[in-house]
Amino acid sequence: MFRKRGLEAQRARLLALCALPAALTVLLLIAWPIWLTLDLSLHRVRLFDILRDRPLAFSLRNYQRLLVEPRFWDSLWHTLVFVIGSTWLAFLWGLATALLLARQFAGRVAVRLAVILPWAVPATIGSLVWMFLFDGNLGLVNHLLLSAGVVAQPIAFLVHDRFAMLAVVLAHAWQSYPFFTVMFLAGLQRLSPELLNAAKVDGAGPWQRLRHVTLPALTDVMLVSGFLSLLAAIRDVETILVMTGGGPGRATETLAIRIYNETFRFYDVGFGAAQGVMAFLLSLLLVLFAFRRLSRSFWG
Amino acid sequence: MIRTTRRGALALGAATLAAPALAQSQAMVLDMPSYQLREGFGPWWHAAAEAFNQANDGLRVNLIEVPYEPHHQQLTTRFIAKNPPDLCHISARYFYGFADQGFLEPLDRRLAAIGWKEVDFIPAQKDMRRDGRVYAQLLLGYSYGLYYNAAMFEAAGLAMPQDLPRDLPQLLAMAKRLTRDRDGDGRTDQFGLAWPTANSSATYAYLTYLITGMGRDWVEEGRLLPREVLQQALEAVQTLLRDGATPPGIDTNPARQLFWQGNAAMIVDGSWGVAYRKDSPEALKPALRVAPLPLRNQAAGPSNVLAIPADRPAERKDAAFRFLALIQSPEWQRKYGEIGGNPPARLGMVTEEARRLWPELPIFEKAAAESTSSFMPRGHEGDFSRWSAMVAENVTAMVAGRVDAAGAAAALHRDLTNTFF
Repeated sequence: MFRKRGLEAQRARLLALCALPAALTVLLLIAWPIWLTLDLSLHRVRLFDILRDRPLAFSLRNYQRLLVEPRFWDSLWHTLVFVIGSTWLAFLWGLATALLLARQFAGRVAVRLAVILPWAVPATIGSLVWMFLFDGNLGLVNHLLLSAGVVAQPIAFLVHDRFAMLAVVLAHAWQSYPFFTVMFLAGLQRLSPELLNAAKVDGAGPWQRLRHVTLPALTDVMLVSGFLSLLAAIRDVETILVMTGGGPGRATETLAIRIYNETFRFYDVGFGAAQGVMAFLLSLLLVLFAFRRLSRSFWG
Repeated sequence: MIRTTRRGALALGAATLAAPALAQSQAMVLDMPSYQLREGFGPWWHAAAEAFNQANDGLRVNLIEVPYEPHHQQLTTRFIAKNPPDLCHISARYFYGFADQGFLEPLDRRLAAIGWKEVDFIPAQKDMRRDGRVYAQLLLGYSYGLYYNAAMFEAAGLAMPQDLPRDLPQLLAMAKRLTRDRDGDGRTDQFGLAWPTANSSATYAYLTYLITGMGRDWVEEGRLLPREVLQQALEAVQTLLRDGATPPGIDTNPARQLFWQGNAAMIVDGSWGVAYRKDSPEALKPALRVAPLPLRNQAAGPSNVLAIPADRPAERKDAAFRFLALIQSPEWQRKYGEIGGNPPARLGMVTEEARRLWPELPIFEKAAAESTSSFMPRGHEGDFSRWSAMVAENVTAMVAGRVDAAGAAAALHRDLTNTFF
């Protein structure tokens, strides 16, 4: 009896020892930066004060300032529009390309490569390309619209509020849809062809097969990829920074852009960190929600 | 014996060959990252570094090219990490923040030792004082001109140079008149005056030209300029946009490209603008000229400076100062005009040779000497980034059509007042 308990204790110690490196890594790489951000947000600290031995007084001023600034709520709204808009678009784009690539046709490998290509393009380069495409004078989009007679005068897409948001949403969706494509393709390969054939024999048309067989089979993949893509969109800085810089006015200023500007352009690290904490809380809410949904989906 | 002699000879040969390399490796290398190593200024920096390396055994200035924005971000990081480069080439917009944080070395003692006098330089050198001490050597003072395409003026029936605009209303009227649809496809392909209104600090700079052009300053006697003046300046921008005289939302480089590639009749730019002429089509070059800015006054002030960091060993700071002493000397200040075509900070250094090589130079030299307004918001230089971002936000809101000039002026005035006053 004693021997058995001794062995169990030993086993528990061994397991704890094995888990120790992972726990330390989590503590070092995840908990420490979060703690640091929280600590910075609770002090009035400029970029120059970091690493200098200056005593900093505890203050809630950054949060007070944040919550009374209409600009913060505007940026939160822009974040929601950008994140939901670009993720939805990328989702549909990814689903369409995955359904296309799941079929057998000549040149499928080349098309697969072309579809995945935006994923390989660095975000900054991709955003620059979209910036040129939407250019008010020389952009390809304007050229096509003018040639087709859709518009009489070129549209300065990145200069008008609504068009600017639309442009950055489109550019970000273009950069992120290959992720959905890959995930959905993997999901589709799991789908049994017999199931689709059975539906076909039962008289289900292509749309009904998609709606009642294919999409339900992809639910888990959709949840995981959608959730990861939402988190990536919350963090995105490059697309907006390169294309509009948060403008015109502040029409495309998301929370991530504000954090970048406050910290690295205006050197107000404390205020930037307070917004970072808000972005973290937003992500945390999303994670908790997704975790609940996924738990229900996977484990009933 | 023969073997010994051969070995000795080999050793001697190897030592002879290795000596310069050894000396090179033992030289104190002074790192100087800069964003000015290509265009008009680049050849001057390279020549000065080469001359310094030749004249100073055991010392070598190592020029490292970094683009403008990353350069200042890297400098900030290196200052904070207490690992700054030996020579700090800084845009004046960032200088104030660095000096105020104590990152730069006061130069008074060393400058006094070489007989340096502030009065030998343009007035903007005085701005390099913080708390009464000198922290940097000014390299260039801002001065601007009106670049114009004489062929476009003549095609519009205007005589050159008599019909050049002489004041702001004339400039706006001329910009409208020179805006054309050359190929008749219903779209403007010749803009009257390329004017940046992007979400960048260039928008601040161009609005500043208008404010100072009206004889005003951002900060007057410690107070923000009146909202009405701001509105007048914004109305001028709105007029250009309404008349289609400039494409909306462009930044400086696209604006320059429009002018230097023959798609805009005018642009306001600094003395460095002349360097872009080399990229213009040959047939276009003779028509591209410069005239004094047709405004009452113009923005002046420091453009870029050379400083020494506080967080370096004393012997490295002494060595770095020797390079600073070289570039501020009359010889190298004269070469600043001759090699780069820009007016040097030291007064009276523009030579006949420089004037021959760069015919536009006297225009900028005169502008720099006459301007009295400041390019920077006086007393708020350390917060330039936030200030210029507020200007850009409100101007782009106007460009987007969300507000008119009055609305943009009111919002900008309120934002600046709430934040800085």
